[in-house]
Amino acid sequence: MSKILLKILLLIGGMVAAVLIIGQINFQSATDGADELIDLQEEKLGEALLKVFNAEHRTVKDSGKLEPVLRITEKICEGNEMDCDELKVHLLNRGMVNAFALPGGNVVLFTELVAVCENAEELAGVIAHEIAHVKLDHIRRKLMREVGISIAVGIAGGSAGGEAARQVASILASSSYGRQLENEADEQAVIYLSNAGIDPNGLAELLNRMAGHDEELPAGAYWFSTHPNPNERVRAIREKAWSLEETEFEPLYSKEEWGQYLEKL
Amino acid sequence: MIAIKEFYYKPNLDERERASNSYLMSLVVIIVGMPLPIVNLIASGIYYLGNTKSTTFIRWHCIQVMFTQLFLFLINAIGVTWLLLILFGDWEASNYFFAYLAVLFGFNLSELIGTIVSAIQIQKGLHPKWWLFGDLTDAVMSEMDYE
Repeated sequence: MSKILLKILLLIGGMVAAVLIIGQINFQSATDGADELIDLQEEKLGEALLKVFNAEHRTVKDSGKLEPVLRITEKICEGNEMDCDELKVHLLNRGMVNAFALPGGNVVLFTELVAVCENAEELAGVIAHEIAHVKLDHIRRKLMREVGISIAVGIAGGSAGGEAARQVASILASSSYGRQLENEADEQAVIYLSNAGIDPNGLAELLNRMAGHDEELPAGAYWFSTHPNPNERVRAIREKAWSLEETEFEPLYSKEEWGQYLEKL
Repeated sequence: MIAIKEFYYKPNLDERERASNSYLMSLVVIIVGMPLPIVNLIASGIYYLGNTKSTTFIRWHCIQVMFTQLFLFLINAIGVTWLLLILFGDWEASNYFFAYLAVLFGFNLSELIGTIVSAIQIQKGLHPKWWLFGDLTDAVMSEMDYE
């Protein structure tokens, strides 16, 4: 009997020793390496898709026109301890009300969307919402679901051709992430804005205004048509903002300043 | 880790067939039982119960199979529980978890190979006795069984 007990102890001891020894291998670094590889592919894919938009539309380089966009982005980054270098926010001169996120930390805003914002807080809401899509890895999920990873990798590597890149760019720019992911992005955006000291109700105000004036929506109002259930979302955003610690928010720009900016745009 | 010995009497062809089947039984249901081989354990138990009136040779091997399946069930159950705690709890997928998976894979593979080897040896009329599980089987079988 003592021989059996000894063998049982030997077996358990052997297993524990094997786990402890093999456990010294850093399996995590292998998965980190895979993530880095995916990140690199996404960066290349983002660059390839940006070329599609840059070819069609003119990128705004005027510092005066870019100032609020960059200031809001920096404020969000600072308030949420994000590395701002990982985010690339682009303003494109285009007569469509649209904003979207692309792989590789790219956020694209069309000037027409900025123009419908009645104050900087509304614009901040849109930017925070798109940053949330980037940070919550929604783009990767959307790519997997709607494009397929092989095509995405093909575009990143340059083997899939320009037509494929145009189609993927069109999908990312004009289709919804689905109700669940949009709600997640809204919720995260409210947190980002609140942490950055920006009034998170700006996003709700913009959605609410557009929801109440469907017939008055400008032509090509993609951002609103691809962000469904505005009433429900407005309620959820306001509830989330209300649940956070109450803070006084200083307006980013005065009415006059914002008006002058829109005129310049 | 399997000592190939001779049983204290020479088993006939029917005994060899049925004892060998106890090992094959655990293989047949291996797909169903993955990743938690409770099905294999139950199948081995049922096979043993169906052979309680059989000869010593058959019962001995049925019991050895049950011990090996019980051991596998226990270590795999620990692995599955750990995985569930990572997926649905707040446990972290540490290096030790991956190390445990590697050890599990080693044990499952060894058991698979051992089962096939044992089934073949028994067909030849030999008596494969596994490390530890053979001793446990010896301890469980009463003195009368060997007379």
